Amino acid sequence: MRKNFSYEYLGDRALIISVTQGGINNIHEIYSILSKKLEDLVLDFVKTPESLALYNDPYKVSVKDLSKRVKSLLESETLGKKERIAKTWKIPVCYDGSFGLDIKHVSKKTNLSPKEIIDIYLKGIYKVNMIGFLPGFVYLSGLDKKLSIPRKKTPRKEISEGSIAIANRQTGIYNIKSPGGWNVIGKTPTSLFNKNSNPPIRLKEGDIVKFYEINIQEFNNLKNNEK
Amino acid sequence: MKNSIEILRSGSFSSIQDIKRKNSRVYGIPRSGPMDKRSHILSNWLLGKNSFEETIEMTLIGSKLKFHFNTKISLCGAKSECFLNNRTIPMNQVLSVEKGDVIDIRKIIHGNWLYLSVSGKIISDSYFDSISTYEKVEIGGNNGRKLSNGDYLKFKPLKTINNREVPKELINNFNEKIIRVIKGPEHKLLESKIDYFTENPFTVSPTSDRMGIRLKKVGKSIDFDISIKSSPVVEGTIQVPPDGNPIVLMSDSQTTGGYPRLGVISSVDISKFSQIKPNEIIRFRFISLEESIALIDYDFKKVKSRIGIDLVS
Repeated sequence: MRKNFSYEYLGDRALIISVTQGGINNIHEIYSILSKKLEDLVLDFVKTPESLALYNDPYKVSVKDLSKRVKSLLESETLGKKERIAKTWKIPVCYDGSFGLDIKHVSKKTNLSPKEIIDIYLKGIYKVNMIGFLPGFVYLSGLDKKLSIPRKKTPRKEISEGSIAIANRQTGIYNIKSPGGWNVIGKTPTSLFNKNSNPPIRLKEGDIVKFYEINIQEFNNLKNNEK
Repeated sequence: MKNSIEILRSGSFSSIQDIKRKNSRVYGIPRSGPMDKRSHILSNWLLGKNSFEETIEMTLIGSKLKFHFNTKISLCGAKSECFLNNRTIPMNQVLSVEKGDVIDIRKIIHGNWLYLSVSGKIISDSYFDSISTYEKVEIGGNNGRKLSNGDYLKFKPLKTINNREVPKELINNFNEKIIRVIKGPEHKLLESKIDYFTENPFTVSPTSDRMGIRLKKVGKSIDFDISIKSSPVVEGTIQVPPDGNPIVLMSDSQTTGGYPRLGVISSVDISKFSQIKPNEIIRFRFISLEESIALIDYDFKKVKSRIGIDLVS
């Protein structure tokens, strides 16, 4: 694989490496190299679909020195050795009225009935685009354009954990209770974020997600089993 | 309870913070840590503790604490009304506290964040190497919760050292309101309106918290309808939402954001910035990354030569 990286700084506190080829596989690979080799210098990493950010303590190593180290490390590595096999996750969703807080709003905006919305949504094959923003928030790409509507003008102060929501061409899973502006259409009883497991989130960027429908009884049973 | 502190009054938002969290952001979990790292470090130095170790951070109205063991403490950061058994006590020096004593931080006057360090190690489960409290997922000290009335913090006492006092020139004077900023990745997208950020001042909004400090334009704000792909952010990042009132991300910052990143506050100014009170006026001044790195180097050497410690951030 050709090495096509570009570098930019985020103030004096982070270095962002962008990849022009290879996408998330390339990101996972440079992450696995750099997180081992630069363990002492890098405080944190953040992955996006096209970039990897490395966070430094500017009193210990400057971003400029860090970037020199990174460049020389990546020069000497052969990338593309191993392609990570994406896992497929099947996640239950309940579209019960009490969970699909915005389904009427989505229905109005898309001119589709709630049943049509659910059918289109369930046919989708989604890809984990990013994990982050808040702990365990999962961004999934691949939402059918028929369901593409903007974020809500006024975000909700609180969206409960497990909520499944849509905005533009993405769908997201709120794995912890948080404020948010996406349109909530359902809820999963499966908790994908567990602060006590290592790693705390089982999904990885690049993984595939499919949803299947469950009714409220099944939701409650699964929820009880989780506990 | 032996070797403990009992929380008689929680205060507005008191929490345990250290500078130890590592490798959590990749899962969307913030690094957390003190808002004013400099004052945190100084309060630890007074007691001979490592800069990374925890302190108790307080804001607005502080906590009232009953000590169930003899120890030493120190208070640094925002100028506050501090009392030991109803007698005023000074900040920026070492204080002896005896079993049964009550420390009361009544009101924070100049600045926002006060740090109380105790000559002891708080006994708590760490999360990604740290006991910094982050309430959203209940991680860190005090079971992942801010202090509440009736809580007890248990300590493993540390050896106390000879008395120290913070040199005057290392204490924040709370007068500096010009904040130095390094251009951010989306600086170019905002360039045509850059005067908006440099010519007229902003005030600090009272709706700020540990996640971010909101600024409000003095005079008329303008609209910026620019959104970007979700991109990494770090503490100090100045985001520009559509209403033109910037948000400066702080210790509990999210890991990514979709607003354009105008700039990032130089690491030498973040602690000072955190202490600027609501409704006070601030201005931005852009500096280069090279200047910022040189300022950090100077800062590091100054503190090293005065008190012999390595700064961290």
